[in-house]
Amino acid sequence: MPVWHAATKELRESGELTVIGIVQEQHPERAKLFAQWQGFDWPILWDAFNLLDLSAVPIVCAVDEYGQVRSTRLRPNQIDEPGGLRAVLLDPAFEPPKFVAPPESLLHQGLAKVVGDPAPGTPLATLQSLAFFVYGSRAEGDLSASFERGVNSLRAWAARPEALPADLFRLGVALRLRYDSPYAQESDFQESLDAWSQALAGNPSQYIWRRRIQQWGPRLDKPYPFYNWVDQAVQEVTARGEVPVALRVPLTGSERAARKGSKSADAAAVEPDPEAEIPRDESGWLAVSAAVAPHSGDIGKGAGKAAAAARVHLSLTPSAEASVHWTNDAGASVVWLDAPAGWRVEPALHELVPAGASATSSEVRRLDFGVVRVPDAGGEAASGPAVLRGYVLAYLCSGEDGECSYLRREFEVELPTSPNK
Amino acid sequence: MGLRFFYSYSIAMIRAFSLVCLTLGLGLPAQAAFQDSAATLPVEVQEAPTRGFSQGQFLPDVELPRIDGKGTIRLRDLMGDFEKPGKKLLLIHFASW
Repeated sequence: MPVWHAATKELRESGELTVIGIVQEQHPERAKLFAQWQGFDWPILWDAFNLLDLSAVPIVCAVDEYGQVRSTRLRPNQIDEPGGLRAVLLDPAFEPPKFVAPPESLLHQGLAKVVGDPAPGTPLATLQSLAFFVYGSRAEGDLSASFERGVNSLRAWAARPEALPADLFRLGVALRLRYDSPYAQESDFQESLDAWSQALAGNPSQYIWRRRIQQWGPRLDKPYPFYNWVDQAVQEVTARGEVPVALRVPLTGSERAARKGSKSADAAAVEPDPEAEIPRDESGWLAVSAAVAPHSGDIGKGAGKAAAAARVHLSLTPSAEASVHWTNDAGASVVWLDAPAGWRVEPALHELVPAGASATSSEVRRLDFGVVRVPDAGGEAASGPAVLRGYVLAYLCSGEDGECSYLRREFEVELPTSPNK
Repeated sequence: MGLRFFYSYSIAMIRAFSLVCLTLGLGLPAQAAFQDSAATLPVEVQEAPTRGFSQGQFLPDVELPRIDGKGTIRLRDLMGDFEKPGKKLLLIHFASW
């Protein structure tokens, strides 16, 4: 898009052309940072739910003064060339359309107009839920009930026998939005991945849905790095004397990662507590939850031919009930992963560096890593159920002046065993 | 303008006549009259335009929020009408990844 931005600068400034962007991604503030970095000065809209029913991006549409698309095959380096933007859109004087516009679909017509409390699973409740997630709530304060109602309504809509794959995709978007909110529920991330996977199985050519899974998926499934530009953007925006747009949801390792081959470079990792000598977390000071993003090639028809891989996302949450916090001045937390037979984990040892400079903190810490099926000596890939086991070693304290311990918290993650998990 | 008005008016009259004839059980002659007229229409005329982002389609009527928090934009508001054309527009669908 930077090339279109540069190519249309004079046309925008002269008023000859209006430019509007629409982003098809989950987190709008990331697109906002990108726009700030690139100096985009035209309006950009957010369509995380893919209400526009696009199946891929980028698409550049030249639209005439009556709203009719005149071309989608333009090139930014051919503005004044034959067949370029000027010839296709700017120079012709188009005639107004000679018809009365047909009515819009219910979705487009009524998205912002539903009031009251319609029953979940009805079209009106679905519109109301989408309106909440797309436009936000006018109410202030605790929105947990609104999130709950919105997710439940989209869940009921997507559970109908006649539901469309797009209904499942939109349920996944809503679940992920709640996961990134203060009202997150532990299963939201996994449920969003499951909903997107089911949607993609119903429409494998939908590349916007596929990208949503690949964003958090294994490195083997990366078409390109998704957000590896962020650090450079922050540095360059800061160097210009501006305050870079803050990312509300931190990037995961998966979102920064480039595509990678299946060779492992982690043979030297040494297990930190092989004899389980460090005391176990018997009091439940630390909760560990996991979501598993599948390889999008494992979803739907043709599964089994693609490389079997997945990306595991762990969340480590200190118990709020017991007022547990990390003691950062004591040292970093360590995560050890023990891959089951027939699988390799990349890498096996992780060190979670304290997020801030403060001596103590109680944030949720997240870690994501890849798992890959490996063939045995006979060239056969593992099949059947598999469980990845691991543990966290962490310095934790309970209460301001309470007990502090270096604890071992064990966990298990069920790995994908079939094409659809 | 006058020619276009006459043109639209003629089409409307043919359709109204066709509807009356169909209602009265006189479908075939009325349909034939409409088809004869339609065969002379300019090729740009769309009797049942679709909405979307492919060439020839018209923008859908969707209202979306701006990522900068400055309200929303309704795509239909960008379109002109018979009386007042809108602006020529480049609509860029993309993602920052």
